[in-house]
Amino acid sequence: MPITRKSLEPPLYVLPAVLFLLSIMVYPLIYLIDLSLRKARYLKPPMPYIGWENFQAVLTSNEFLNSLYNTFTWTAGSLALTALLGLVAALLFNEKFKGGNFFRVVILLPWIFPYVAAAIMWRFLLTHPFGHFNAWLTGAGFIHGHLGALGSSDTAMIFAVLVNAWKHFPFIMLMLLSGLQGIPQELYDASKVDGASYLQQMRWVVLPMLRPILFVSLLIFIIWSINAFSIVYLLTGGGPGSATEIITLYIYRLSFIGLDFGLASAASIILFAVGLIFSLIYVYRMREVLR
Amino acid sequence: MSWRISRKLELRRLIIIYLLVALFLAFTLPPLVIPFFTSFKTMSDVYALPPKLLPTPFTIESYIYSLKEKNFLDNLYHSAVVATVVTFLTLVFAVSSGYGLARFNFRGRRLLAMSVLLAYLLPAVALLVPFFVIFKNLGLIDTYPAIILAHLVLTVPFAIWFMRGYLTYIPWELEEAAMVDGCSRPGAILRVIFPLLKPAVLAIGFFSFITSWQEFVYALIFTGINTATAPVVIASFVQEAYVDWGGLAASTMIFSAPVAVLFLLFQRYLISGLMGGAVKG
Repeated sequence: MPITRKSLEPPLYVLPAVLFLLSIMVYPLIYLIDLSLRKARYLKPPMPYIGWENFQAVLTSNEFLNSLYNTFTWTAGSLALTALLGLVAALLFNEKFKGGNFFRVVILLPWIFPYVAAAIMWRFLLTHPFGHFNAWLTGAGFIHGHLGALGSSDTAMIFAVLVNAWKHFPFIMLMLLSGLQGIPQELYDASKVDGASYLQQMRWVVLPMLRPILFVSLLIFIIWSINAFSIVYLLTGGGPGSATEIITLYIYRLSFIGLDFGLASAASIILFAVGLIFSLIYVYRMREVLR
Repeated sequence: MSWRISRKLELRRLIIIYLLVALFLAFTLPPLVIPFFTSFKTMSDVYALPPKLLPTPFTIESYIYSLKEKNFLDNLYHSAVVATVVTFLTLVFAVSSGYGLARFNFRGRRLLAMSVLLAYLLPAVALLVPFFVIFKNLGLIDTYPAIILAHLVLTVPFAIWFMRGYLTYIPWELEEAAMVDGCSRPGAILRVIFPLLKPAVLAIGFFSFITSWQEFVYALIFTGINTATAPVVIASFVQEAYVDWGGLAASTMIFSAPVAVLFLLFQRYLISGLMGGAVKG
C-alpha cells in the first residue's frame, strides 16, 4: 500500500503526467468536439457553428456505413484468424522440444517487423504479375484474371486480414504462453490420472485457465484493429473502389483529401466513441490492479 | 506402461510438433526472406517472370541507389532524431509519474491511473484532425516539435502505466532506508531505485524507440521536406506511378535492421517486460 502523506510532494511527481494528459489529450479532444460542430471546409474562416449537421451528414452517408461495415469485417476476421494462430502457436511452443526457444524467437519476427515494412513487403509479394505469392496463388487457382490478390474487391479484404494476423499472432502467442506457464503442473497430472485425452485436457483444464488472459489480449487486439491504419492504407489504400476502406482511412480521406475538417471531426468522434466502449471494458477489467 | 509404447507416443508427439513448427515457419518467414533476397537482385531479375527466388547474379546496386540517389540517409537521420528525443522524454515522464502513482496515496490517484490507461488505448487517427489544426495554427507543421509531441501521445501513457506497475514490486523500504541515511527523495530514487529499474527502463526505451521509429500516420501528416521520417518516404515510393521494388526492398531492409538488432540484443528483457505491462500492470 502506498504511503499517505499530507504534503505537496506527491503531486509534484505526478504533475508532469497530469499536465501532459491535459495538454495533449484533453485539449485536442475538446478542440475536436468544437470542430465537429462547425462548418470547416478547407479550414477557411469564418467557421460558423452548424449544430449536429456534420454528424447527420456522416451518419447518413453510404461511404461512412460502408467504412463501418469494413471495419467490422476487418476486425472480426482479424480477431478470428489471429486468435486461432496465436492459440495454436502458444500450445505448440509450450511443449518442450529441441530448438523450441530458437523457433519461438523466429516466429516473433513479424511482431517486431515495422508496420510500414510489413505492409509494403506483403504488397510486393501480392503484386500482379511478378509478386511471388500472386504467382503461386494464381498457379494454384486461387486467383483468377489479371487483377491479382489485392486488385479484386472479392479478395482484397481477405489478404488485408491475413497480413494483420501475420503481424499480430506472435503477440497473442506471447500473452497466452505467459498464461500457460501459470497453470500448475498438478492440474495436468490430476486430469491425466482421471484418464483425460489431450483434447479433453485442453477443453476442461487449459482453456478455462487461459480465459482471463485470452480475454484481455483479444480485447487489446480488437482495440488495435479498430484503430489500425498503416497496414490497410499501404496494402490497398482502401481499394479497390472502397472495398477495404475502414473507418480510419475514411477519416483520412475526408480530412486530408476531401479537406472537410468538420465532417472528418464528426467521424473522428464516432471512431473515438466506438474505441471507448472497448477501452472502458479493458480499464474495468484492470481495476483490481489498482489497489 | 511399457517402454516401447511410451517411446512410440513420444515419437508421434515430436512428429506433430515439428510438422506444426514447419507450417508456422512457412507462414512467418517468406514475407521476410523473399524481399530480403529481392533487395540483392539486379533490376531485370526483380521483374522476372515467373518470379525468381534467389538473387543470382548478386548485387547491392539497390542499396547504393536508395541511399545515394533517393537521399534516404536524410530520412533515416530524421527518424533517429525524433525517436531518440521521444525515448528520452518518455523515460523522464515514466519514471517521475510512475513513481508518483506507485508510491503516494493522494486524491484522484486511481482516477489518474485509469486515465493514463485509457489514454494508451485512444485511437491515434481520432486525434489526427485536431492535432493538425493546432499544429498548423502554431506554425509547427514540418518541425521536430510537432512530430515529437505527437509521438509522445503514443508512448507516454503506456510507459507511465508500465513503470507504475513495475515500481509496485520494488519494496519502498529501500528508499526509506536511504532517506533515513540522509538521502533526499530524488537522491534516493536516483541512487537506490533507478539501478533496480534497469529492466523496465530498457523495455520502455525499446518500446518508445520502436513506436516512434516506425510510426506512420502522424508522420505522414505532420512532417514535410525538412523532417520527413523514413516510413513516410518508403510509403511515398509505393505510390509512385512506377514502383522500384528493388530499391524499395533495400530501403525497407535498411529501415528494419535497427529494430531487429535491438530486439535480438534485449530480447530477454523485452518479452517478459512488455507482456507484463500489457496484462498485469
